[in-house]
Amino acid sequence: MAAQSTYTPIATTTYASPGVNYVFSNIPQTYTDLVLVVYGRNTYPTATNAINMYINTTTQSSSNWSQTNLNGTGTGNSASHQTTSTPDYGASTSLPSASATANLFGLAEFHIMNYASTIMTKTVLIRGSYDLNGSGALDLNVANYQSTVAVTSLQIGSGYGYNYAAGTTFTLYGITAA
Amino acid sequence: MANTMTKLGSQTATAQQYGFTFSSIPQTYTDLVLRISARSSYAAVFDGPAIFFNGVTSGYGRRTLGGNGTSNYASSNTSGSYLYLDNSIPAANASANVFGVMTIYIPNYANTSYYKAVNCEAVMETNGSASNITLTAGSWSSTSNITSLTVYSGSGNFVANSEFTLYGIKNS
Repeated sequence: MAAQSTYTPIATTTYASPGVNYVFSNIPQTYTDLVLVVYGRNTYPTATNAINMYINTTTQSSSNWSQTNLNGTGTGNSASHQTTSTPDYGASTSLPSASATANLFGLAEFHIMNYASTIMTKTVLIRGSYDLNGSGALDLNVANYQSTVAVTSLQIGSGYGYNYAAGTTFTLYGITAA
Repeated sequence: MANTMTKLGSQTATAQQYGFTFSSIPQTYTDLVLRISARSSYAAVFDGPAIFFNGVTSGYGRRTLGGNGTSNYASSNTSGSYLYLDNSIPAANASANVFGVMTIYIPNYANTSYYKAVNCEAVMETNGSASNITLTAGSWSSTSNITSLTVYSGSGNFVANSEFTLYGIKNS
């Protein structure tokens, strides 16, 4: 079967044992968009923990982010918004964590449009979902990083700096528009 | 570097049909993506397709967020027989000729150590009140690798020209 599209893997890693933040560096500037797919679970001792993505930094902190969130739990929905004047957590959603049902992982996807642009600020569409067979959550969020600098590295952090569980996979794809 | 979003198979309804199955799914990809363009014959505005894996009809959970432009709702299932995607395609009482669009993402489908996660986005815009968007987080409490995927239409049949295309994504 012939390849159909331009979902090109740039880099991937799977944690064989619990591991902390992961960084994709030296990102090629030859694609139109980036898609970061995380199949993951955290070790923070609650049912869920945040996954945070930062641009062009290796510290788990960065200013100039804003984010708008639509969240559902299967029993209720909510909306929220963070501006640059409030504490920021990069582009974020959530994944299951240590006290969630065993063996259940969540999916987090970050779509970074026009990442190589030096004119536009960076918009990130975030999808997060996990179902724990009795509870769970899903997010559709949009974040903006108010910087016109081209994206050359991505860091994936977590709430409270806790490790990601063994089996967590981080994959970065490049999407070409032409 | 290779382009790795690869079409594994495509099926189109030539007449009303209740379900479609993709079997013998290759185990050589990282994730699966199923894209659906469909409409149901059910005598209502919406229908809710259901999917299940490997012919197994147990162990499915889901959380759904839906919105129609004026209000939103939430729904869920625990330990269900199918992964039920409620109100996600237009049915017979929706505007004529409108089909809904769904994208179902299944990461790590070939893994045999962990339960399976599913993300589904479904949209239908009917130029009227019977429009809807649903986001669903799903799970299958099984460590079995996914070798087949079946989609049922729900309460009606998929109408002619409903299309189902399965893609594999490889991360290396």
